[in-house]
Amino acid sequence: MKVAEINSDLESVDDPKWDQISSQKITLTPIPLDGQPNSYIKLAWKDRPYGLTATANLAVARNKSNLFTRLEWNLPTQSHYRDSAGVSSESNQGMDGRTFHTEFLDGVGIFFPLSTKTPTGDRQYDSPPTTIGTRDEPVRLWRWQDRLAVQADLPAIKEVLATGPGVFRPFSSQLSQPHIQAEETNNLKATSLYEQAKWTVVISAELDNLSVPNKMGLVIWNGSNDERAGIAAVCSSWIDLDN
Amino acid sequence: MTEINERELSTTTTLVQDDQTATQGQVAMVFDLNKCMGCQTCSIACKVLWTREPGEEHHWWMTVNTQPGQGTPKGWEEMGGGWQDNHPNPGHQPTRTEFGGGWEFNYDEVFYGGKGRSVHLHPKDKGDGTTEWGMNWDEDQGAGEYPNAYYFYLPRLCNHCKYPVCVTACPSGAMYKRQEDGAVLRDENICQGSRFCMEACPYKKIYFNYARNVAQHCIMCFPRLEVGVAPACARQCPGRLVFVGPSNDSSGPIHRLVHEWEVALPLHPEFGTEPNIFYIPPLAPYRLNEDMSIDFETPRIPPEYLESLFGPRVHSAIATLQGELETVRAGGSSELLDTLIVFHWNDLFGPYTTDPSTLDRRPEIVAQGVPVDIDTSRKTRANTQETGG
Repeated sequence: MKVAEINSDLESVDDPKWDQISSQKITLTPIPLDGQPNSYIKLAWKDRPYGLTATANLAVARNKSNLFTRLEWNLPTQSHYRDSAGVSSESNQGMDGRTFHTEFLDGVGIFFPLSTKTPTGDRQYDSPPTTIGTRDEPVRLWRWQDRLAVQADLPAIKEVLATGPGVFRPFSSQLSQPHIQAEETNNLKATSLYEQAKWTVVISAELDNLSVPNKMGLVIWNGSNDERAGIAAVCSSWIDLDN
Repeated sequence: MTEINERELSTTTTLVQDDQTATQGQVAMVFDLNKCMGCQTCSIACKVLWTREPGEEHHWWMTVNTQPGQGTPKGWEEMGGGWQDNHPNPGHQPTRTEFGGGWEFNYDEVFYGGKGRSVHLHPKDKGDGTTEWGMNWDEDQGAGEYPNAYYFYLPRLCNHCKYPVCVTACPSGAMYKRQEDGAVLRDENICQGSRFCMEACPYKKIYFNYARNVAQHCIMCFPRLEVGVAPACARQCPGRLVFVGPSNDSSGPIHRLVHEWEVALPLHPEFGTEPNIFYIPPLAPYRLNEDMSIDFETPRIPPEYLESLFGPRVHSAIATLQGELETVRAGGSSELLDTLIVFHWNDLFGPYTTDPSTLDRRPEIVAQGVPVDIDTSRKTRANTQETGG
């Protein structure tokens, strides 16, 4: 898809300039059960639907120094808000009677292949996006979680090193893996809006330390369905970015 | 033991393999339930050391519950988890309501609001059910009918299992079994708060910290162990009922109680995780007949109930204990009972007899507002978890 060239910032979800940037409908699929990182998760979810988000709209723009990504997806029920004591301020129980911290936060992530080395030179990244990275072919994941900043006073968005579905580590952990050559992203930000049963999230980052990606992946967690880690919907093929 | 090893190896997708659990050392604990008086000093000792930060209000990594009872979280024994039929058994993630506790009280109203004579101090009801249960809610209720009612106290903490299914269930590889002491720990820098560990743990001794978005559980006071100090729950116990030490020290009390006399048993062995916390099962006064004469034949605590907690080996353990008691009552001596009496306090703690007040820097001081840097312990983790990818 085309990365729009702009001359200003586009960090706000409701900036009217987004209306002039074409978006693309991305088809999502549940991350395969076989690819989940351990036998516990495979057994716990073998008879339970997940990855319920079927599509999302994606728009990407850049200026001289920043990359801006807007994601929109429909979701009938927002994950419930809880304060630091884990108490819901909206209702006592979830949709099906489960309460409080059985609930998980809505979330979205975009990820990019990382350059890696082999003993004979650069590695050509060839894993599908549905793995969200592998040990040999990790990805850079920008992960946003609804209301994490309110509930836990933590950054709503953070950058992690992903080497599998839910196998997320602090990005700094790549320093111990010499085959990976990547620097942390600067000025990673997110803004979000849940309105009329639809999420809109804008993720922005400086391009200084980020080689302009030529493809990206997309993963969405539906908190009301207890989706977290590798229990999520992911794009079934890489999204090519035309810079 | 052999059966479980075969099961592990036959499960190709199971991540916890023998080489991962083969730690250089394994610290174990034995709780003598015949000496526990339910005072909760162990619970408080743990609470003040480790779980005083925001998000940990309802955390009780160490709890003492009255048995029979529903315990904490409410009804935990029926929540699944553990190993079953050669595979991890999916379990229920305890809710905040099922844990209960972590209350806020109406201090302002009672002490400063001028209502001290009309309003009682009580937990604030947030409409979430958390004021309808707590860590010791059903204290002393027990079971049975007068004059043969019965109950006993059961201290519980993380079992630091040989086959920790929580480690298997963690997708990020944050959990591990530490090499030198076998403590099951979590790198909170890696934990993503996905809480599969809470589902998988059959003992339901893992809590979620909302303020930090990580799960947490008993760390076996590893900063204390590292400087020769016994875990706080053991050292603070007024009843002197908690043995601590290496499980493989054949001359130590734990090895003898567990493997030689076979009177110390794991809780719910059918969960399949092979705990490293053991219990001396409780004896009880004799039953009374209707005419108030003593019934010497019928145990007051039903043997089937004890079997439901400690497995079928509990019957021989009880028989051994009673046999030793008879020997002593007949004027003989018993090395087993002498061990359980604990004539010298430090005999409880194996190599962990250091008095923390003699140290320049108390090991737990790191807990006072600064999270323990669990990451420093990762260098000695038993093995790196295979996390796919």
